[in-house]
Amino acid sequence: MNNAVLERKNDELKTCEPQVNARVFVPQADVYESGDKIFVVADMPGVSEESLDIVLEKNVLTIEGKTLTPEIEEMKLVHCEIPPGNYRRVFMLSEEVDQDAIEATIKNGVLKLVLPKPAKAKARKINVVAQ
Amino acid sequence: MLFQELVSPSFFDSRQMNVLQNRLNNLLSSVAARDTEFPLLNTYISEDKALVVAEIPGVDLDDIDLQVVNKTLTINTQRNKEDVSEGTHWYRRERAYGQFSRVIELPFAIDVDSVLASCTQGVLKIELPRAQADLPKKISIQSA
Repeated sequence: MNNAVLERKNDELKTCEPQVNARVFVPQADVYESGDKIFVVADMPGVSEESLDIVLEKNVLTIEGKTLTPEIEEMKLVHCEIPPGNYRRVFMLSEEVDQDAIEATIKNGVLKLVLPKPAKAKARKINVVAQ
Repeated sequence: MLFQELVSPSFFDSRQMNVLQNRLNNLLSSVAARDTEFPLLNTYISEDKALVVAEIPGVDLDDIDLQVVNKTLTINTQRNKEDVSEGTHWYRRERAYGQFSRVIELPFAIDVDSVLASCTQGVLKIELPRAQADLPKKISIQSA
């Protein structure tokens, strides 16, 4: 009986998304527009280029970063301001962005995204012709 | 468990109240620290060394100044403003810049010469070995 329940639970776990029991932090970010590019700069210390996920779906930009919990053995944590956890933040972009030309770099724990605006989204000046 | 503690007269024992107060403070401070302090840090202690882990995203290694005097560690950092061209329109500005300083008092004296510090992906790790003179010594008893 007990084994059957366990087996069923294991089967269910295999078909589910892997679940992580950790906090999710919202990284502090700067967003600015300069020229025909939008820049997103986010603080994500402890995130490497491999553990970073950036998804742009329509105009919803999701950045997700996993941190590796350092293994500190035989030491006692006496003061904690950085509990283990991952980063996640979702941005809504107002304008269409050239999805293929997005550049992302991460350096010293700071993620920098460059989102270029396609030609059609740029402001156009319309000349009025006097008749 | 809690209920039992509540009804027992020892609940009003000041020592237990202090423990409760400390736990509450710890719970609240870890949430509040995220907004006000920079860099955020964890401190680990063992018998012969201490380890301080600090989050310093976007700080150049040249701008980190570490000082150890006896029991205290001082971290002075500086984060520079983002280089932007003129005519930039800001949508969001949450990342702080400027000069930051934090002072940590450790429970024992530090061997200043063998302090090790490394930095990867914006996480600074400082290993602080306990000073030899400060290590506990076992005293052997001689039979007379």
